[in-house]
Amino acid sequence: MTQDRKPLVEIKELKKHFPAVGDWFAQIFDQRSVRAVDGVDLSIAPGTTLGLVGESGSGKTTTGRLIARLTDPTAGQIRYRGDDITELSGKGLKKLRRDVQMIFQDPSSSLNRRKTAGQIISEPLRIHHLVPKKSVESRLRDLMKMVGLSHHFLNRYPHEMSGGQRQRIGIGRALAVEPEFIICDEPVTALDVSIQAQILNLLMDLQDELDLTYLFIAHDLSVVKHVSDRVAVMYLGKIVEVADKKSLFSEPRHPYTRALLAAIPKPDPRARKRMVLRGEVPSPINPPSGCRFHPRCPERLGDICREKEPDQMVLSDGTRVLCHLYA
Amino acid sequence: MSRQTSKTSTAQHPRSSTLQRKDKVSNSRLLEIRDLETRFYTENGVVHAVDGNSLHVEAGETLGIVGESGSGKTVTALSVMGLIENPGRIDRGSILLWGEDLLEKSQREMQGVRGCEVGMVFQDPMNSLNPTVTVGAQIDRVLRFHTSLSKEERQEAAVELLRQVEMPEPEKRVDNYPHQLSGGMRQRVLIAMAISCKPSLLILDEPTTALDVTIEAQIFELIDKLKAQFGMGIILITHDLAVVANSCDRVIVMYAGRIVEEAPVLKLYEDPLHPYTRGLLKSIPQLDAKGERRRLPSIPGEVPELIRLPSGCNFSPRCELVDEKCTHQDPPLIEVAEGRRVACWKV
Repeated sequence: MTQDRKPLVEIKELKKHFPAVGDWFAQIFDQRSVRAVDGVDLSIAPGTTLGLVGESGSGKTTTGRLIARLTDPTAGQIRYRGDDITELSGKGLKKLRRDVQMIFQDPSSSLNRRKTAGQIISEPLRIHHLVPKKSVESRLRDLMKMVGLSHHFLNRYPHEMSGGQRQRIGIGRALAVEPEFIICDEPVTALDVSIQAQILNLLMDLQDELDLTYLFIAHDLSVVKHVSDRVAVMYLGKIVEVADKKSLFSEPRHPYTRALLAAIPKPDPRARKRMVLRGEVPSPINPPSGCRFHPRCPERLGDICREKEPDQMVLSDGTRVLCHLYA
Repeated sequence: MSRQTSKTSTAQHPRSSTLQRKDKVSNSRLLEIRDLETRFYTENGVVHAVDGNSLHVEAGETLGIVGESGSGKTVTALSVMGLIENPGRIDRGSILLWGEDLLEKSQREMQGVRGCEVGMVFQDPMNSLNPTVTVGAQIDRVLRFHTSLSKEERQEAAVELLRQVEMPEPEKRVDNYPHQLSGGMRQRVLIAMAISCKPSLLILDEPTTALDVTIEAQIFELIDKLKAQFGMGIILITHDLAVVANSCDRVIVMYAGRIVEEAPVLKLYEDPLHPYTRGLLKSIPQLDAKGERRRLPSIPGEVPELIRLPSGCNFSPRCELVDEKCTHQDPPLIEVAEGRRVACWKV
């Protein structure tokens, strides 16, 4: 299937470390850093959706921002259509911005509150000189129709609209430059249940219509399951498991993936009680030695987990997993 | 349980509640709300936040209140707590706690009820804790207000409370400031404060919405343990139907200020009656759904503005089953079976 095609996005050994202390003077004396993303490999085939899940502090949002080049990596490589985009700047970066767009979690803080819906959606058209001035209006109407916003909203400000409508503006703005690849960072987390379903449907329809590729970042595994083709699970800056959606959900391999799946409440009062994973995510400033999950792992093997960092194993069905259980 | 905490519940302070809960158990309900109407008189018009609702909670049971933003679930809780502020007003109804109407109490009497008889935990622990005061000192304030314990006893009680909510290293954490704690730990502190006087009713308003799913599971395990230990009644307010399925005995579904359905938890999921409840249950992405990517059934449209409610049934503009009667006449909330109420002309 699509998996055989060349990946649209490929990242290798990607790292992002933030200084753990505030000002530069302290940084000279205190070399500690927050290892938000610490050696991540991923690839996304064109026309597919890769789901990226993890708890807060796992580094999933930073990974998304690195790929969008909103922040610069500490080390590693990001390839887009085979070209290294890690060092892009100026014109090259502006060109990349037309191909890669981002949709954010909180539509009220990612939209300029002093601009109307129409101004926000048409701004990228003007910045990138995508259409002649006189056709901006008609393109704007098309875009609004595409994301399901009636033209009554053209001159409305974001605060006059509901969360779902604001997220539609965010999607319209991303689509304005006709991107190929969209990074969706928790796009439905802030929305009500009935609106969530509307936005998820919209994103899936747009993907089919425009042949888009998505990186879908979320903490909600049921939402990710719904939209993704492949799913990557992140824990403390590392990808612990990447697999086909089917294998990940029917046969989760990494103990963390299993725990995460078992912790999700099911909308069924007869369902088995949730399994409770002990402890909290440790600090990324000082991650545990060996396997980062070992202090919380219910399937810990012994000293090896504490002492040796597991290598990535590729299993027969293509699942990649970072765990000594499979060594 | 230690001597210190058992003392916190029995020690009566001049400012603590006048309700003698032990005498009331025999003949009254823990909480009974009748025809509650809470409105906000804003510049743009009157917001009917809670529109004539009746509900009750028995001791030892968990009542779930579900609904989307603007459904009135939080305002219901704030009305019970006596925390409705200008331009809001409770226009009608009664809120009976062990048979005594809280709406007839003075602000001063309500201070005794809040935190003592009724505890509340809010969604965002960062906004409900004082960032400049240590966790221990914040718990101490509650104890000082509601009990007559000495300073040393209160210090011991604070550590003991943190231990009860399963805070790791409670002796150390008691001297931490809120920013030094994780989101889950902050929520544990709020729960510790809410149960410090062993309330008979605990209101949890979206207690885990800001937390990760593994931490959420830990918090609900804790709440179940505390409920079994103290036998309190719980109102769990949430938008998450999966959380309700796991933790509640009975469920109330609210839409645009009104109760649209009430049912025992098993019945609600097996046989939802109101079209809104059915739509909500269908639109949740299912984890155990087989099959490939498909469109989710969704409810068209949006929640109406509470200033401009549609005529007739509030849900009629989004309802599949709508007809002439629905758009003209308001459906009453009718008891259709034991413990089941629904407000819909089509049922």
